[in-house]
Amino acid sequence: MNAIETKGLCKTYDDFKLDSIDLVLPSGCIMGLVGENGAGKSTTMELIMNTVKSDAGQVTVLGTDNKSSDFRKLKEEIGVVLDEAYFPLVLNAKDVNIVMKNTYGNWDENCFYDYLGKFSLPIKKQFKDFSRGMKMKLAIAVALSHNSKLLILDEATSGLDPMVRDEILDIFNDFTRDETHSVLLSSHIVSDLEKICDYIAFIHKGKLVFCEEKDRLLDKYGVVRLSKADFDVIPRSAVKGKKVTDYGVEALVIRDAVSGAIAIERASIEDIILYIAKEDK
Amino acid sequence: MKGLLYKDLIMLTKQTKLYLLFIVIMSCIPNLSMLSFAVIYSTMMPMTALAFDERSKWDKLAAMMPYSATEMVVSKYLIGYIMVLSSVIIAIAARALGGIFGGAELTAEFFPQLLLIACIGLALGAFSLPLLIGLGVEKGRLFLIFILVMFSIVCLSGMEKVLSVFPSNAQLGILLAGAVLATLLLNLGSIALAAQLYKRKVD
Repeated sequence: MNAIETKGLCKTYDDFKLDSIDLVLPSGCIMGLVGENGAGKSTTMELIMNTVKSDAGQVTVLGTDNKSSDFRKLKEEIGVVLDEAYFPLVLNAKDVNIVMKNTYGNWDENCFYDYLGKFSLPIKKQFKDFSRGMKMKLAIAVALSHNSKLLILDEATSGLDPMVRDEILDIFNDFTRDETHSVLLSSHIVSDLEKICDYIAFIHKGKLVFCEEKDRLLDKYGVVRLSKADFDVIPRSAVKGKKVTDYGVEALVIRDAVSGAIAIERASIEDIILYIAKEDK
Repeated sequence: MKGLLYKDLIMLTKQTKLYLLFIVIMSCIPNLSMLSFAVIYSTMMPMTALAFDERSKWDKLAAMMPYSATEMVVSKYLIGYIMVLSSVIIAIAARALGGIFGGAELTAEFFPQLLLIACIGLALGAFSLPLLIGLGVEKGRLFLIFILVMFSIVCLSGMEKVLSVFPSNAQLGILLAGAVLATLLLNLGSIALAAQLYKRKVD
């Protein structure tokens, strides 16, 4: 079963259009949603959670149509972390536990307090006195404490120091050891996504550029560094993005479409995204 | 919806201690005007809760939780009802204790007066909440001030006159039953309207 499936998802605002987004996140996998600021990542997540009405398209989450009456009940099984942790400012972690215990039928109090300990979060300090990192950690603790099958995380690791980020990425990774668990994670930190994601979806200016397995992307694309004369030999259709410097040309190419005689370096996910985005400019 | 109620009650208890104390003191004073103010202050507590929600953008997070738009709206009405009911209970308890210790006594006339005041308070809540939910607290507050002034003039000042015009128990009973029914209908209509406005705002 797929954890998330979207088909032809569209949403138009006055100054922005999210156009025909098709995503498939298989159960047990982690998908990274990447794109520039304002590309449509948060809107996509809001459409998946049906908190914003789509203009067209279909969304199925854990086998349930997100517009059906069953979807509200299904939200019990979806842990969400938004770009900001919007808890009431005067609440402390203990209060959050009381609120969530009465919100989620499957709330696991012990698990929540375990995460508070693991993240070194104070129990009695008010939320307004938390640092951004602490706020995000509290939101992540909540998302992980109601036996979720799916985590939807919008910039959940931003604002965290590298040590904590690494620790949290390990937690997300462990979460998907259970093959019924899945994660949809958006982040600007592409290295984080490359570290843990099985699938990468790249949204650029409201359009889905690709949604593919990470390993397939890494196999498919490579980077060449050539003189201008040597670069001209490469078929144009093989070039997905290029950077011309005084010393020559650096380009993202489709490996299979380039002659074996040319040295092709490994492209990182960041390379792939940056070259394709720049080419579109 | 219990979670939403807990959240609001915890927030209000932490943020409006003085305000709540004020309501308790005014409910205890053996004077109908003071009690009316206590009830009106109580009906304004949902507005305070809405203002806190707006400041923390709670609605955005709550939309991701297993809550419907109707539950989000009804929880605010329930906070108002809980607050008004608390004022009423405190007022009855204060007068019952007053009777024991030689102060203002709990009389039979007090109950219809109390019921009418509670109905006026709940009607005020029914008028104000759709405005506050639909327009947001900042804009809605301007309209609320207007409604408050109108209510103070029309309802509170006229209440004693109305009671004196209907001296018989039967007529008083009809008046009270009508007030309760009108308040109930007004609140049901208000909840339906506020839920629609909330859905429109979220979409």
